[in-house]
Amino acid sequence: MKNRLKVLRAERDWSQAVLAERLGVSRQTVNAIERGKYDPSLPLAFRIARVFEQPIQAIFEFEEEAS
Amino acid sequence: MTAAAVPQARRRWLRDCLGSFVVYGVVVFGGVGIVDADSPLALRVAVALAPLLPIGYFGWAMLVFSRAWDELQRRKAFEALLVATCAVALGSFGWGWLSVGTGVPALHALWILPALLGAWGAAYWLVSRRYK
Repeated sequence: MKNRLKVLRAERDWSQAVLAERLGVSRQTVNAIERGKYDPSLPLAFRIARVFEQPIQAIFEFEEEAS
Repeated sequence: MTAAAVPQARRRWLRDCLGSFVVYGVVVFGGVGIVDADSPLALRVAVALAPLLPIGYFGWAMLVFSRAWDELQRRKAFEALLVATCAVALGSFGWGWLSVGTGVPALHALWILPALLGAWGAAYWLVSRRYK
């Protein structure tokens, strides 16, 4: 799943630590999501959407895994 | 759990962890000092099983601390626990067959818990690399 987390965070001039604090997760988790290493759960995706005041589909884009 | 609560949970974990280690040391070394081969069986059983109390407390403290982890930390801990369990199970099973088949000294069951904890820590480090 692709996401725009890094772009949205940069637009607000937030560090990963600041975003992690707002989301209630570790900085490593924010980093893993940004790098596409980890897809967040639905509740965390909703928290991310709320923090950035955007709909989920504007932040995350589903893409089929290559077989 | 909020991010602000995590340092508090970490402090509690460190306190409980350290406390369980101290109690474990006192129980083990104190127990060695009060029993000998002539001690009543009930006392020897009680002293032998007494270390389970601080170890159980350590496990409970870890469970409490795990509730402060976020979802990725829980996933990494779970995957690491699977890897560690498989590694220790295979290792002890293989060692058992070696001792039966080749006369390698039998492995004392006391090593299982430290091996599991050590393997869990190493596996957590390995698993974490996948998410970096």
